[in-house]
Amino acid sequence: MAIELSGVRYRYAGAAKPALTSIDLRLEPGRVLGVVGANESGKTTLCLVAGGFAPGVVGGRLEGSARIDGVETRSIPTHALALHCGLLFQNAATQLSNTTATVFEEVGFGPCNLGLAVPDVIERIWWALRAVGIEDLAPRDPARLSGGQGQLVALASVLALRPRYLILDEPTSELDPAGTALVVGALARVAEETGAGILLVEHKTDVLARIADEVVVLGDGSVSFAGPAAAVLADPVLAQLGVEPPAPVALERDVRAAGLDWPVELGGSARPGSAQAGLSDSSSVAPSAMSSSEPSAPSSSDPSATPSIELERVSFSYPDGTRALENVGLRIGPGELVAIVGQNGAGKSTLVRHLNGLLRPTAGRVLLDGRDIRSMHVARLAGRVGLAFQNPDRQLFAGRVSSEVAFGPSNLGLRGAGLDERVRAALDAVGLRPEADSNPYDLGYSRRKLLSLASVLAMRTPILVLDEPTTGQDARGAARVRAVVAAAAEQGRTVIAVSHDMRFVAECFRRVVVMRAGQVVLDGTPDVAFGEASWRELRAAYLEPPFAAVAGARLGLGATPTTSSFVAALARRAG
Amino acid sequence: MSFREVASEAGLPEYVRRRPGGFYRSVNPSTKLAIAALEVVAAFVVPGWPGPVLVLGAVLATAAVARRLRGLGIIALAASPIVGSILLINIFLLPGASDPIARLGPLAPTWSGLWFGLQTVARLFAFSAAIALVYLTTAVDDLLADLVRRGLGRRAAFVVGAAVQMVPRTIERAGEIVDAQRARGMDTEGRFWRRARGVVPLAAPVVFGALTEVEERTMALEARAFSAPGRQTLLRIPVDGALDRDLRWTALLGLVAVVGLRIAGRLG
Repeated sequence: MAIELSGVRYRYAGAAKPALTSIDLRLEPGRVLGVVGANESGKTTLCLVAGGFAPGVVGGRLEGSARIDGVETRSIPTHALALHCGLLFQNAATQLSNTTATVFEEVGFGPCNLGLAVPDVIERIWWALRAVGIEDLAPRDPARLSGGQGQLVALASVLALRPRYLILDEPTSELDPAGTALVVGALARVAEETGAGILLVEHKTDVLARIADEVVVLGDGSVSFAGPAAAVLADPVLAQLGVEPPAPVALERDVRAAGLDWPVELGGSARPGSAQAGLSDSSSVAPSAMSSSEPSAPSSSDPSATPSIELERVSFSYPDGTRALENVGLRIGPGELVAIVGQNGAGKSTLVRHLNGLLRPTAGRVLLDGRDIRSMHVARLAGRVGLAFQNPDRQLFAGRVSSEVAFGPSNLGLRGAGLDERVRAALDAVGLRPEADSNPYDLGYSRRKLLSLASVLAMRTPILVLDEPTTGQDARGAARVRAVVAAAAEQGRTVIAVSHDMRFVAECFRRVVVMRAGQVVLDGTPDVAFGEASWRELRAAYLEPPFAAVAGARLGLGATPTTSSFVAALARRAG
Repeated sequence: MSFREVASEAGLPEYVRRRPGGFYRSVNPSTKLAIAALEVVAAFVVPGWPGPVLVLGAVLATAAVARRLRGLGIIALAASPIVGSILLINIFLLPGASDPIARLGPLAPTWSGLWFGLQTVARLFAFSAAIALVYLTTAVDDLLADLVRRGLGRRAAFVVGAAVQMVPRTIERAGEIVDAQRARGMDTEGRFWRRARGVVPLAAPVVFGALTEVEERTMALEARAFSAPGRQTLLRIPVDGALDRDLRWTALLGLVAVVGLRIAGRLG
């Protein structure tokens, strides 16, 4: 009993080269097999082949042997695949049937397709909802859920079929930390209680450190190396393959690189579960030594200067009556680096859409350089505030990458050599210059996302707003985004980012605004926002501090939100 | 009622068991479809004013009691550009019309053109209002459940359901795309030619986005046993009482009668 891939080579129909060149792996029931690798290394294709969906549903040519419980996937009828393997992708919007009125019925869609008796369907629905922890969503309209909630519903919908194996392709990439923890907890429970084998593709190696038994690293369509999760995730080669190591591993590596000993109090960083130990058990953390906290990095803004942007008691309600913002007051000075964090649905994206006039406050006002933007056209504001949206597929339209990047600045009136120079610089910034003549839709999702970022960078606005810029990026892509933020900061531009990635937030931004239920509940430097005194507020907002902050608090080092601040504090203590 | 349908009433939560209440909304979806079919046919087959006027009267009266007049009003408003163009074309260009209302240079609006245009508009309104009333008084999933129960194929039902649900979702997606392009400086509030230049940046992501999602959607459906053989279990069983059956038969007989009389030339 297992999913077994042996000598697998797979090529999509019409593709010039194979997506998988040499894959051997085995997934047994009750085990969790993590898969990591750089973007476009073949992870999604591996999911499709392992589940029998390639070539079964998507076509293409499969060589070698792909078997589920000893049966070649080629010989399993499409409709029977669902009984063997549950498949889940990262985009909740494409996972749901769009034909049901309630989450309850959405989860029942699969069992109903099997023609099970109604009591059995009902029993499976409640079981799946409980397994994922979303019974309270049962009466809700699936079309009106946040991205994170939608993903949990999609997971429950797959679970309701009770497949022997679950194949999950970055199921937490769009989730907030609380949503991620919920999914991870549900998966661990499912693996233990049902004995299902789980193949889990993840960029978040902290997640794998917690639940994976083994990890496979993919590179260019083949298995680069594989082994027990703890050993693989601690291997230094991981970073070279474009994979970010788990936070404790990265921290230990930096500590040792600084010539310091890894504190025994923190245990072995590579042991599965240790990455989350401090986070999930924050009550056990030693009392904070906030008084010994190193000084926060000074903000680059001058408090006496005219603020770049100011929200005065802004409230906003959507036409259906949903109150998304409640009396928000925020003042962001020129050159500030501000991260806005909060759980899915906290109002972050709604807030940033007010900054360039896409949304107008129901009450209150938004001031740009002291002027109310109420009467200004969005097209005019676009020259001052550049906003890169979360989903690149909501904006890409051009036939060539370079034309896509040129769209924004040409709308601002730029032409000729000046325009070309901006396009080249923006493509260089995100590493897409070699793809300048490609069709945007020939790029993978992560590179389409970098392209949408480049298209806003090319507008060179004094204020740059990024909505979840690191989602779906591997280590290299995330490094590109960090470099973009750093470069913008050097140029004195204001950068405002919405993010679920606390490590990115702590390392790249000097101010953290925490939102909950449409309100700003915390606003301070990373030292303050991620310091132990704020943990209660963070937990209430369904957030978790970065691992460095937790480790620093555990050792009594004070506020250490970043790896570098942790290493510096440790060095000071060591004398 | 089969065993499976009885069982479904037992363990289902109230929000799934809940039946639509109120005048006309509680009528079985297939009954409403049958009535709409009669109205649509009558509006076009009965010559002159009686057809559209009677149908429009019946639909508006039903909508008023069912409190759905506002919804019909919005749909009528959305159709106003088409209505306007039909009137203009008929007033000025009806072939054979020779009773001018006035002379406007080379153009001569005619009374018979105006009369014919109004009649055509009335038919169009009667037709759209009859169909819109079904949409406004029926939950899509109730309609699909009823059609599947009567033997409509799972795939056909899914296509109908997805198409109906796609309208508001495409509008929502289009809104996001407009926002994304406006954020890159595209002028959607300026002069006409500027807005016309925005058609490709606005339309292309709708199409490309949908295409890139097709494969993922297909696999997501297959991963939920969409193509499993055998009959699908239904959780929603719309009410279908004796009155519904009588109404359906009456509507179908009425439809046959109207068509038959028209063919026999007995409707004038």
